[in-house]
Amino acid sequence: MTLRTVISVGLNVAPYQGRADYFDGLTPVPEPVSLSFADESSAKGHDRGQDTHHGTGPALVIARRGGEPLRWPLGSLRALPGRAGADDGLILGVAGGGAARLMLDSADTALIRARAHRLDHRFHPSRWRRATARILGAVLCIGVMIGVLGPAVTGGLARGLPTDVRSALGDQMQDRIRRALDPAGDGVPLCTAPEGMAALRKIAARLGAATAGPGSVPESIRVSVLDHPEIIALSLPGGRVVLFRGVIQAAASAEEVAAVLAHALGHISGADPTRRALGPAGFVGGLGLNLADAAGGRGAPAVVTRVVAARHAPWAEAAARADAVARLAAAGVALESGRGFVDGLARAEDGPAPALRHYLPTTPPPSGTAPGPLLSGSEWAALRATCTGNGPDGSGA
Amino acid sequence: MTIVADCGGGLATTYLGSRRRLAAIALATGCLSILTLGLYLFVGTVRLRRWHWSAMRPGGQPLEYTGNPLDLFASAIAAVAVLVFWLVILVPSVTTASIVLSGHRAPGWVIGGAALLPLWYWVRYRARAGRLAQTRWRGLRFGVVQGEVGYALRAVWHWFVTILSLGVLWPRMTFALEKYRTDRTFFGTARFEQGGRWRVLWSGFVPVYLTGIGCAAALVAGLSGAPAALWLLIPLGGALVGAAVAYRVRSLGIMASEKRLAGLRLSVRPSPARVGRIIGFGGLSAVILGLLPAVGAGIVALSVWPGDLSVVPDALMALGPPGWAVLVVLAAAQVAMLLLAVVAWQTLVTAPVQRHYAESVTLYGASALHDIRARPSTGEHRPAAMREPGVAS
Repeated sequence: MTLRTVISVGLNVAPYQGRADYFDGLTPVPEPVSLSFADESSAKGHDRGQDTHHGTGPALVIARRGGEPLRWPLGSLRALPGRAGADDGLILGVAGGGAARLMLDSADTALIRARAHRLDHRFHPSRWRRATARILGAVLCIGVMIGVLGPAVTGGLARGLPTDVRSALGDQMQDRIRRALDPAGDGVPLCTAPEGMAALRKIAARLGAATAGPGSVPESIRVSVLDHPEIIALSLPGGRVVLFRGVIQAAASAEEVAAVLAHALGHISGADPTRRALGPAGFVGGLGLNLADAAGGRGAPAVVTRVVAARHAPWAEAAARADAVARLAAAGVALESGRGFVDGLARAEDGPAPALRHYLPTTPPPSGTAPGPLLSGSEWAALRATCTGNGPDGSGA
Repeated sequence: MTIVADCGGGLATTYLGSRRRLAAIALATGCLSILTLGLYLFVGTVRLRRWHWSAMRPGGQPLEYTGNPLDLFASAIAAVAVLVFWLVILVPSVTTASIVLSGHRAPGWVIGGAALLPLWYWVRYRARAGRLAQTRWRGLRFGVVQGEVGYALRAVWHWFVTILSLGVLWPRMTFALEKYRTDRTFFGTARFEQGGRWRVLWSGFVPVYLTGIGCAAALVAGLSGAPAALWLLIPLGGALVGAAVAYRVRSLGIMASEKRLAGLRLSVRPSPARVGRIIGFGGLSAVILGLLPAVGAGIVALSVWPGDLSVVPDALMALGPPGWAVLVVLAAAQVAMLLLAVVAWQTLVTAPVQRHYAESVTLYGASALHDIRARPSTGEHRPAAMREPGVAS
């Protein structure tokens, strides 16, 4: 404030006369100009008609050689921000993003800075409205693709795939998983003890016949047992269910094996396995298996197990669970309530292993008609011994 | 103020910037980006670009970067949207087609992965266009016409041809893509033109090709029963990297010197050896600076837990509060490592390389600038007048 007064009053001192290069924003050719300050008072006495559209406040007057002088109001002068040079002059423009530029020597910097107090306010217009619209549009796009379009495309493709192609795909995936779990040998062996498999087929037949439930299983169900200690039950395209040996060992009864099977069938009736095989998760999982193969060494088995045991989307899991409950009820499978379902699960000392809990219903199936136990005692024993014939590794009971 | 920095009839390019300021910006960007979970990265990028742009002064007048963080953020989200499209729509479709046609998913996955190539070029073209649209020199804007689809398709075609030719035609791809980009770039109303022929890049490519063949041969020999051959990869790989840097610098200079802009001509003569030295020494300094906090943290950790460092996390957790403090120190050291390396890279590699490039540029025929005008501004990303390419190439 005081500085401004001093300069405007002290006219006996030579008034400011600076030099600069002016770029009009229309041609890329510098124009040497001379600069001076015009105050309110002098502007009033000066040529009034010329200055009306620039206002009459204090201004920087830019005298051009061939043309009328320009008046840049001091209040709207802006310095180009963030320049790399430490102190080599100013580049000035007018607030609002006009293209005209004034390039000054460092000698005049202090004088301009003393008089133009908004030099460092925003120079370039922020255009935040347009940017915000772009951001919202892109986020909406991403949301629609992930939430609606992607699932619709993958679901449509999964439904459109012929049954035989789906079966072949399921077989392929089973082989791939067996190889991935046993990279040194020639794949994890399948358990094939005839009595055990017959018992398993008996359970599957009873559940598969119960298609009166909410979802139907179009394919013929094929169940196999993998001689591997993890507690994993896989559902694969083409109605293929792969139980790991660990599931049968962790289950307390044939009814619990049936519950695990019903959960897998729930996924199959929702076409979840095919959907996943075609979708992004299948792509990423396949990539993970191949990378683990390539890496070979430490950590690879952990990656493989993670990929193989990956859960479906929460909504798919919920649907599969509901389908399993209905299927168990329709098949008249009564689960032992001592093992607990709702909150009893965590409390029970002899409750199911954590990995097994995922496949069991969280609510007990409604007790309908119970046509007797699922398997006889000898059949259950045979089922538990399905993998015994596979050598020392599979003989653990 | 000098209007024209004269240099034998041409406009020389000067480079002027305080590297201390650059280091401060880089450090602030790193710290604040971590604290804001990456959001500050966009503000930091704008600040870094303002620094780099304004340091470069063709004919004495600095470039001006007018972009803003929000626009950058919007572009990043758009790129994410493209990636999501690829993952949730393109990959499933291709995978299904593959199963139906071949019975297997793997071919679909390979093709799906290859589909990233055109998307990558598409995104790169748009990013360059966005950058140039926000660049001014002497008050006039640069600009790029739409052409990302053509660019992506051409890139795929050239990759295909290059692979078929066992890499021999790589310089042809380098040149063709540079010409495509250049011929669609404007300064004001004037369009850039890329002259020259791709064969002039060949001599620079021969060392890359030979060392590349050497590496491949060593790899094949090493994997098929002669593991000793794998040791050859160290010198050969080093030579390949050196040759690749030299090729990049030389081809950049050669192609830039063949660019025309409404009668203006560029002469660009960067020295591959100089760039190699900057990258070598600067990179080494960045690594050493980055390791300093790691060494310090290691000493702290050893003084508290003089045991086996490989079990550190568990052992320190078991030690209670002093152990947790050391864990915090270790984590902070890891962050500091990254930050220092980034700052060192910006100040000791990026800026010096830019400086070297800038100072090797001379503009001839500057009187042609009188014929160039500003494009009518419509306030859009790309002016309407530029939507029609009108490119005769």
